[in-house]
Amino acid sequence: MKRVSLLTTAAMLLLAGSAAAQNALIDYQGYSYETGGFPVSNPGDVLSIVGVVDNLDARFGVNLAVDEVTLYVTNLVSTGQVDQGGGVLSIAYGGGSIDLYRDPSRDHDYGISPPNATAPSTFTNGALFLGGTLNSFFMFYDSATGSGAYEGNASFTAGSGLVTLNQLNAAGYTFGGTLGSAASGGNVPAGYDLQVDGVIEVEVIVGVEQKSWGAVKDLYRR
Amino acid sequence: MHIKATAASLAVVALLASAGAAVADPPNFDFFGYAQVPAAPGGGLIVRSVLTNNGVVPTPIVLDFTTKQYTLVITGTFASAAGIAQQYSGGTLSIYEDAIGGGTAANYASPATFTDGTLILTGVVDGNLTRNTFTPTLGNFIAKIDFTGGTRLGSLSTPQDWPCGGGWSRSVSGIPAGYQENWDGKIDLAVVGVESKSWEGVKALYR
Repeated sequence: MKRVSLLTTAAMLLLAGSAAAQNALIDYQGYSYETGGFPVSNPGDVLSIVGVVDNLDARFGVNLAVDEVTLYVTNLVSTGQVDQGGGVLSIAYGGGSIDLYRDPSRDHDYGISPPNATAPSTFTNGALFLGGTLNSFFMFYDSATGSGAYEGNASFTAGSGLVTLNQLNAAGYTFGGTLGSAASGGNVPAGYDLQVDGVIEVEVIVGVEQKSWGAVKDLYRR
Repeated sequence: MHIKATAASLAVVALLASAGAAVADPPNFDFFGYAQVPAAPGGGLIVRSVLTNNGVVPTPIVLDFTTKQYTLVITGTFASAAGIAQQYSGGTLSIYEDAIGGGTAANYASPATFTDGTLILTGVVDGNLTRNTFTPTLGNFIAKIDFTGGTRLGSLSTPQDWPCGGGWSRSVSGIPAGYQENWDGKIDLAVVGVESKSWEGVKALYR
């Protein structure tokens, strides 16, 4: 009877948490590069992004003054650019992986002309924080302003961040804005195509509450 | 001009050193927030946001993210639309500094919490702010900012032509009531003219 009661209570808490949980947001910025350069985006070109997280949900428990969290998106294969008219291009990408790493060495370095000695290697060292795949990734680019935007869905299946959220996997979404070198006032390192500034949303299934092991054991002593 | 460019360079070096961020990162003001977007020409655009550099990415002027919160507000008037582009005229941009302890935390339900504290930088959009709509739920924005005031105006290497841009989405969950879009963008360091000079020439500046 006691066990049934506990299970019922746990189920109720899970349901209540699910209704209340807000998704976790991760804010990042960085740079993209595509084989052969961008634009043009030819079929088969591979898009990659390296970046650094400068803000993330407190529930992840990461102190960015101690650890850096870096981003590496790659294996996005272009299906070729489509002229939307008015100087606007759209590109659909297939495949794609999205990985974030937590690293106390705080050594990320974009360098120039990626891939190079420090990119992506200094963005993929440390411990895997979130790892997953991308789908439905689209990029839009306005040639008139040298700027654009992108978005894609993510499926996270690995990393300490999922453990922190008490989840085995999580759906995700990312979007961001892009600026070409001229539009950004030359603030794109040589050899990169675009400056990116984006957000990752990670689905949080249940609410998480910090509790000591002793407090957890107390739940079962009553 | 030489002194101005040199001072700007030295300021950036100092910033990079003090922020503890990777030297490879170009300085910028990175912001994340939400926008109230007008439905028709004549309406007002308001973007309320928080600076998110947090000592990870260097800022163009030294900011204290440990004890201060920085809010950034953009306004403009929907002037015209053609194709995917909306033009917003009369744009303004303001950055406020407010103490974390004893100040008022930014709250999207309370607009005044974004404009309290010290106005450290204020400026105008040079020309129009352009807001593109690529799909009904995804787009971007781009503008150039001329800073004109604020307590930290004198700390800028140059007040003119700071590139500002980013993306917006309506697909992100958790957009606060009364707002339509999540805006994520940044203001990049304006380029200061640089002139080649010999080492003797540099030393001569200090004699």
